[in-house]
Amino acid sequence: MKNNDVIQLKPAEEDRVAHRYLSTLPSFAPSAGFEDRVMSQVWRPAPAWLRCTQGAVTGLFPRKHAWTWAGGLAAASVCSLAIITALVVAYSVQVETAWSAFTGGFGLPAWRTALSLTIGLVSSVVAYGRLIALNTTMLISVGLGTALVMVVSLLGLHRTMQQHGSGRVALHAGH
Amino acid sequence: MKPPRDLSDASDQEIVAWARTGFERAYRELVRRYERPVFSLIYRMVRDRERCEDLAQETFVKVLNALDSYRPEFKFSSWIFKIANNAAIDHLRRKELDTLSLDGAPDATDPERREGTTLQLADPTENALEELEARELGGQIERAIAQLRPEYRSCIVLRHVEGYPYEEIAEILELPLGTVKTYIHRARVELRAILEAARE
Repeated sequence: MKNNDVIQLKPAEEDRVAHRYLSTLPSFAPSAGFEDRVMSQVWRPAPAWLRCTQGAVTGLFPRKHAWTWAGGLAAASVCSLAIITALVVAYSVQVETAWSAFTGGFGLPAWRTALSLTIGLVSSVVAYGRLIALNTTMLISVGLGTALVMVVSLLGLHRTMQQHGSGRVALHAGH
Repeated sequence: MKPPRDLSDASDQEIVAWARTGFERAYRELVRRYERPVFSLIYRMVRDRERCEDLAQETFVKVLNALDSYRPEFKFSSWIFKIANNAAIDHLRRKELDTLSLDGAPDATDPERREGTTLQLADPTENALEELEARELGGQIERAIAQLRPEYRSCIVLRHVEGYPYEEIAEILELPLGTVKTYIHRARVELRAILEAARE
């Protein structure tokens, strides 16, 4: 390998000779930890089983009606909770007996405290409800306030979900 | 389908398919396969170790985050080199860096390593004098490449250092085939002229 070989090239041999010399140049390597640094910034899809579950859920609840479903489920949850609370309060003696039989009296003081607090809360809500029901202006104000809070909450939730979904890295070099 | 323990025999397309299903090993295999060629291409373009690290990392992050948009009918190597080349060219346009010193490998911190990475001999039977000449020649070629226009530089590196055919270079650089051939021819002429000048 002499410098003269490179300098005095014949045009026909250009490609072959250039390749012979240039292909011997070394390849450079990044510093240690390059792979980990790259991986720390790479977004990876969720495991297959999770995506299958997500797919099944999306199939059950089409995106088009997502808000209807979300609102319906939230309302159903609130109603269920209210009904369960009402049932527990209404049948508190039976619940307490069943609880004692099942746990041997364990946790009864806590149960009684929770029950008295719930009864107090329910009584207060009922009392306030009666008060509001008697006053038309207050009834309208509370109704409007509640509706406003719900609208603002839904908008906030929608905005948060949109921001989360736009976190992908865009690529500006196609094929 | 779960990927095999050893991915070294799998094709790029297979590895991309596994990566798309969320297997981290597949991502890492792609990085391992292409970190050297991508880093070398970028380094020969920008001649700045720290910048090169950043650009190579940016290239891999872009590519791996956009695997969903990769079309398997195209070569993965063409795709990643295209993004790497674009990153380097964009950087050069921003900074207008043309020529810089040649100090061996970008990660070479001591003279021994620097010397060791300047040129690797293809023929181990060469004697000491020939080896020295080869090293000097390697250094001269690297310096000459660094003086070429960025377009010529990427063409000549892809053709003669990475060994890609003209057609694939045209695809990577998004240039007509004739333009690639012209660039490579001109680059070789310029390289020869630079080396002649260096010799004199």
